[in-house]
Order: sequence, then C-alpha cells, then structure tokens
Amino acid sequence: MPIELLLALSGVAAGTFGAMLGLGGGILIVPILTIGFGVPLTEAVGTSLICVVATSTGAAAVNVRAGRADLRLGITLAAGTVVGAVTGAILAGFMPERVIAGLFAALLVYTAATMVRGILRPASASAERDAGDPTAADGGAAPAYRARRVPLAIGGSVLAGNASGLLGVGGGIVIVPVVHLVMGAPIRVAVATSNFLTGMTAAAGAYAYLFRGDVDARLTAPVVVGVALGAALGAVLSARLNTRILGAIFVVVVGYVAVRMALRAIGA
Amino acid sequence: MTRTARERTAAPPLTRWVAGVLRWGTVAAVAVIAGGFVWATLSGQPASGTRSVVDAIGAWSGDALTAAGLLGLTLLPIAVLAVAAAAFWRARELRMVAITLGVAALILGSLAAAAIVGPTI
Repeated sequence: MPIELLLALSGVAAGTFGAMLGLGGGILIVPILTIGFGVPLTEAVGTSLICVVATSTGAAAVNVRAGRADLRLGITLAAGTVVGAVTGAILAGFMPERVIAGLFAALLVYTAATMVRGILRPASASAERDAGDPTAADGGAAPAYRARRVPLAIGGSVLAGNASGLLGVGGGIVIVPVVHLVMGAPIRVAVATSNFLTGMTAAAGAYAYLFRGDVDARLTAPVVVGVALGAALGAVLSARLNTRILGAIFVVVVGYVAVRMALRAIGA
Repeated sequence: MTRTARERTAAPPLTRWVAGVLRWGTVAAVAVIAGGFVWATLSGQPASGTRSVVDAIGAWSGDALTAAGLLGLTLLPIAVLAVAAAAFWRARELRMVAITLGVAALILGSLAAAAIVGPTI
C-alpha cells in the first residue's frame, strides 16, 4: 500500500477517534507519525498543529452556528493561548527531542487518567452534571451564565497554549476544565468554546514550524485531508456508538503510546 | 462577559458570519491542499521534503499549491477574528472589538515573527 494512502488512513482514524471522544487529533497524530512512520518529533508536531487547525475550524463551524460556543469567552481566552502557543513553538526549536518526548508521555498519562475518571463516573453523575444545561441533551443553544475568575482562566489558557505549541495538541485537555470548573460554564459550552479556541491557538503555534522548515507538504497533505474527513465521520458516528467502550480502548492505546514515548525520552 | 439578552440580540450576524467563514474557509483550504497533493502525485514530481513554507510556495509545483493551502488554513483564524470584530463593531461592543483586534494582532505578530526569524533558526 502506498505510504500516502497509509498516512491518509491514519489521519482518518485519528480524526474519527478524536471527534468521537471529544479530543483534537493531535494527541493521536504525533505518536502515529513518530512511532508508526518514523517522522522526527518536531516535524510530527508541526504537522499535527495544522491538523488541529483543520479539525477545530471544521467542528467550530457547526458549534458556532448552533450557538454552543461562547465566542466572547473564546476570543478573550485566545489572548492567553496564543501567547502560550508561540512561546511553546519557539521553545520546541531549541529543546532536545527527548525532553519533548518525555513531556508528551506525561500529557498522555494525564489524558488517560482523565478518560478513566470519565469512564468510571456513574452514568447518573453525568446526568446530574448536565442537569439544567439545555445543551447537554440535545445540543441546543447555550444557556445564560456568567463567566467567573477571568484573569485566573487566562493564566490557565497560557499553559494550554504552551502545551499546544510545544507538543502539537489542541490544548483542550487543559482548556475544557478551565472554562468549566474555573469559569463556571456548562460542560457543553466549555467543550464547544475550547474547540473554537484551539484553531486560533494551533495556528499561532504552527507558523513557527511552517517558516522554520519543519513541515513536509507531501507528508502533511494526506494527513490533513484524512483528519478533516475523519472528524466529519466521527461526528456522525459518535451519536451511534458507545463512547464508554471507545474510551476504554483509547485508554489502552494511550497507555501503550505513553510507554513508547517514555522509552524514547530515556533513549531506550 | 455574560451571555445575556444583548448577546442573543447580537448573535445572528456574529454567529452567521463566523460560522460561514469557518465552514467555507475550511472547505476551500482542504480542497487546495488535496488538489496540490493530487497534482504532485499524478505528475510524478519528486517530494520537496521539509522546507520553509515561503520556499515551498515559490516553486510552481503541486507541493507549492499544498503549502499555499496549509498557510491558507492557518490564516483562517485571522479571517474569523476580522469578521468577528466587524460584527462586534456593528453591535457597538467596543470592548470586544478591542479584544478581538488585540488577539488578531497577536496572531499576526506570531506570523510576522515566524516569517522573519523562523527560516534563520
């Protein structure tokens, strides 16, 4: 099978899986490219950031139109994520690959732990969490709420942007808890707003990679197209499949990838 | 930053414009990227490998078209912010106009810095 087709299929898989689990594709694309295709880590991060822009803008179009994303909040927090992303992308140019691999392994462990918590939470708790949130059941427009602790959230968004620019992920794993737990937004609003925000964040980080020469057009094109198609497919499938089982599979995959990344970090 | 009746009043043009730019911008950029890739593959052009996007776009090839699509995709958030600023201006939300333009300036600044410094490091 031609390598371009394999790259496109990997992109479809990452996009589908990511959309079904509410993650950006970055957390999957970087390991796929580095472990599966032997792509250098900084090149994989640059490619991943562009894929994150594609998935974010595609999904955000739907979320914005449906009124789920809080544009004011997203744009305000972008001030922090953009600064963080640029800093992260610059740091990546100087940081040893082993350090980046170690940080990525740590991020994977954190992501897996978050997923496990979600899987273990009883279904009734999820229902209770979404109670009073008209967006939770049917994905309708966002309810009225007041965003709290904006300066603290902007501080958190700098951290999310830093992870994005340095590791090639969307940063949603940090932004969603910040918007939901720190600022008090309903969970669906937090997810949709984070999704809108990650496009701006990833774009700001991607420029450093694009202009530094860390992006291979021939390698990136099939992955981006695959991810865009996969994200659309995942959005359709997520309503029909059991995301708890999917989440459990994801935790196993992420655990394996975290070990491989950790081994890379220690040079084994 | 409160989702209030004022936001819902301002929402139609803001959400319509932003969603439109996001949707059609993504479709156009991905189509250009795919077109460049198909062109490069069908014409048997050798892969240009990793190089600065400026150098990549300079050559007349499928990879140049792909690189232009990749850059276009990353410029989409700036277009979104420009449209959002216009919608906020129309709704006379001057504070949000300032914040939106400030974020756009930050992203443009990162683009300019990458274009100037990026190829040298």
